[in-house]
Order: sequence, then C-alpha cells, then structure tokens
Amino acid sequence: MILEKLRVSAEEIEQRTGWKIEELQACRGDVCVPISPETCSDSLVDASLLAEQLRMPLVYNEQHRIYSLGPEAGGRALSSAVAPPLVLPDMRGGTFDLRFLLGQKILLVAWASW
Amino acid sequence: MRTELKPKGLEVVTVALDTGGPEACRQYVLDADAQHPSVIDEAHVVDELFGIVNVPNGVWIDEEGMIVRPAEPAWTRTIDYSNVPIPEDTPPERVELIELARGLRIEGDAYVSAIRDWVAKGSASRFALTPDEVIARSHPRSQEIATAAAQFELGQHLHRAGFTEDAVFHFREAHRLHPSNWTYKRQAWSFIDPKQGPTPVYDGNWTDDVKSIGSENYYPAFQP
Repeated sequence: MILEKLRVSAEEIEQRTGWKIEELQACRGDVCVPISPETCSDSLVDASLLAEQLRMPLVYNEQHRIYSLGPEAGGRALSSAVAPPLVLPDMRGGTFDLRFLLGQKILLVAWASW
Repeated sequence: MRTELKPKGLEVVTVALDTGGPEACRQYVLDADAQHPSVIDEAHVVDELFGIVNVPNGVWIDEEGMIVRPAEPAWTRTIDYSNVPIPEDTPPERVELIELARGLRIEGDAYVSAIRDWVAKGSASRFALTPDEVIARSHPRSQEIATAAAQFELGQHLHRAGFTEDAVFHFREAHRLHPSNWTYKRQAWSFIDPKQGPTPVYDGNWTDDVKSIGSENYYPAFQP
C-alpha cells in the first residue's frame, strides 16, 4: 500500500489490505491480532506502529517521499480462508466489487498481457 | 467453459495484472468478447492478497465468500508442446525457447474437470479444500517475500507516475528478495523488452531464468 504520510485513515487501510483496524485490535477474516492503544486513535492509524506489530515491511523512497507498506510477514499469503475484500476498476469503466458476486461460486482468474 | 458453467452457478472473473493500465490489455478483452466481469489490477493488489506468483492463476471462492482453493495454475485446456518439431533452419535463440516450451506443464484438462466437479458437488467435491488446507497451500510469506511485495508496489507506483528509471531499483529489489515470483519479473522485464529477453537493466530474463529452474517447474503440477 502506497502512503504519502505515516498517518492514514483506518478506512483506507482496510480497503487496500483487508485489515480492519480498531482501537485495540486488527482483524481480517476470522483472524484478530491485539495492537497497542497508540496505533489507532480517531480512526487514524500510525502506519509505522502498525507495521511493527503486524510484521509488515515499510519501505521508503527518500527522493519521492513515499512509503510502501507490504503485507504481514511470517506464515502464508492467506492468513484466513475468508476471501479478502476486493474492489477494482473493470474494463468498461465501472467498479467491480467481489461482494456483489457472493451467493454464487466464483472462479477468479489472474492473467496478464505480458 | 463459462457458457457451460454459468447456468450451474459459477461466475468467472478475470483480473489483468497490468501496470501498463487498461490500454495494455483492453484489446485482448475485446478480442475475447468477454461476457464475464473483467477487471484491471494495475497495482498487482491481487498478487499480494491471494499470493499469486505467476499467470494464469485461479482461485476458487464459494457462495459464502470462503476460498476453497488458493492460487494455482489455471488453464482451460491441456497443451502439450513436448513434440513440437524444431526445423533445421531455426535460429538458436528460438531453438532454446522451443526446448523450454516442450517442458512446460499446462494441465488444463485436469483443472477444468476439477472445476466441473466442484460446481456439481460443492463442498462435497474432493477438490474443495478445508480452510486449514487452503491456508497451508497458499504461498509462503517470509520477511523477504513480504518486503518484495512492498518494493514491487513502490516500483509500479513510480513507473505509473512516469518515473520509469526510478522504478527499476525497486523492481530489482523485488526480484532479488522473491526470485520465484514470475509476475514481478515478467512485468518489469516486459517494460524494457516485450519479449522479456536479456537487457542491461535486469539481471534475469525469461529464457535464462526458466532454464535455471527447469521449465517443468515453471507451472507446478495440479495437486488434487
């Protein structure tokens, strides 16, 4: 997740990473991890504190002054079998939201032009 | 396949992992006359969320939103290149490519049969995995692999913002930290050379990197 500042809204974090940040815990799917009280206040998350506690790498590019927050390390790519939220633009110029397909079986296929 | 299985309750979503944006892949979608949701993922968010390291890859999600098979090679039919002939006048670099292609494992028939079984039987299908199996089969995520994801995202962000030279450092870091991630490599190589051949910018290229692991390992075998 690209960040211009280390203070970022809990909503943005959830949208991009699937982690729902509350006052004393971070949850995704059926997994919850306790976090320190300083990590999140007034729905603003301190990304460096969160990174430390969830073992997320935080990479900085000094020249462009941007951070990149990676996924939590340790374990597997999926920490839960609950499908993460996924909202992406579709090819027709609209917005795709995986939630709208629930109730049917979904085959998600990743491909590329390269 | 979609025409057959959509009435039985399966929807297919295709996600294009293309930092080049919709322009890079729209023509393919138009040519395929796609009727299913067709989505563009310029930031490769899906790689990170689902642990995808090569394409094409498929993930199965059931009616309740549970993943029942994590990322694995997803083909619509088996392709066997093992007997592709190499005519005498074939240039050497082409010979090398054909030899690599001969070893590729493209097991679409087994994959499609598994999908049909799941669509018919749901969670009773032997191909639908339990949550613990899904997690255990998903890609490992060490500190290096997680950092590679952050580096790759920084690279693609700079690339999209027009700082293509500044992006290279981060792409190289992603390649160094997670060498078995083909999406990181192929995406970055293709910016320099669409054929993903050797360039002065990156240490690896498709032919040499596939040769080093053996092309039979490029797409892992389908695991029932």
